[in-house]
Amino acid sequence: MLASLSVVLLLAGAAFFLGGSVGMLRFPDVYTRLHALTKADNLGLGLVVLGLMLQAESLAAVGKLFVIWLLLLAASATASQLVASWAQENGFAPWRG
Amino acid sequence: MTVTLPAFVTALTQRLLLFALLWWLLTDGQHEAALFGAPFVLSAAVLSTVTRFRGQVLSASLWPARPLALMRLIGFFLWHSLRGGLDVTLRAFRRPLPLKPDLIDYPLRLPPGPTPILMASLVSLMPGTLAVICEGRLRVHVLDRHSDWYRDLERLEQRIGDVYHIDRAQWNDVPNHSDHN
Repeated sequence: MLASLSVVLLLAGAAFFLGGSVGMLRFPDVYTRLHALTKADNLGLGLVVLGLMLQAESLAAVGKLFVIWLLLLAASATASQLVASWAQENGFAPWRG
Repeated sequence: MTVTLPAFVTALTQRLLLFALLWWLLTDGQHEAALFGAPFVLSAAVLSTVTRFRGQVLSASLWPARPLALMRLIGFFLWHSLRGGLDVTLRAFRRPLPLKPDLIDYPLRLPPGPTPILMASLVSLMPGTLAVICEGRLRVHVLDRHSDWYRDLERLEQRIGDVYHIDRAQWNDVPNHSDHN
């Protein structure tokens, strides 16, 4: 039961990683691509981490997985802001559709 | 700002506990590793506390004032990151691409300090919005300018204000921000 829930979460996480990567390839400019990367990948990793937590052998391992997710959230929020600000400063006009 | 001894001791204790917990997690709770970690936990806690009281920028505490409001902010954040991930994934697979992006300035009402930084970081994880620059104002890139991103940003700002006990009266006045279209 726990193992199958874990598998479902891992597969769902993988689907969001795929969605993020497809968005990264299909979206028209740097800003929209950042949307795809930050949101889909954070959610994807969150689900993968949840799935792995169900299979963890100790409480410390569960905590470690959680900290990994927090660090990725912080890194991706900061990195996307830096990339977007850089693009702004260097005159990359956003695609308007 | 004068540093009182109780404030220093409280800040140091909080950091000692936090760093000890981190070390315990990183080493999978092995007892042998605790001996190695102790000096590093201690020095990191002392350095972090000293920096906290010397810094001008972070003179306002980042420590959340109200735990209940913090829980609500976390719930709000989790729900919206789920929505954000779903939203962008669905858009990625549609043909033609359902994107109407735009770059807009959001009139920030939170006072300067650590809260706008937290706000900018969380904005990027909300559905359809991405923070670009943060210098007093907040510039946001939105995926769909016809969506209700404005309401979401307002609610996020309110939740953050609640956590840090920021009085609405203290908020910067924004005379008219209803004409955002």
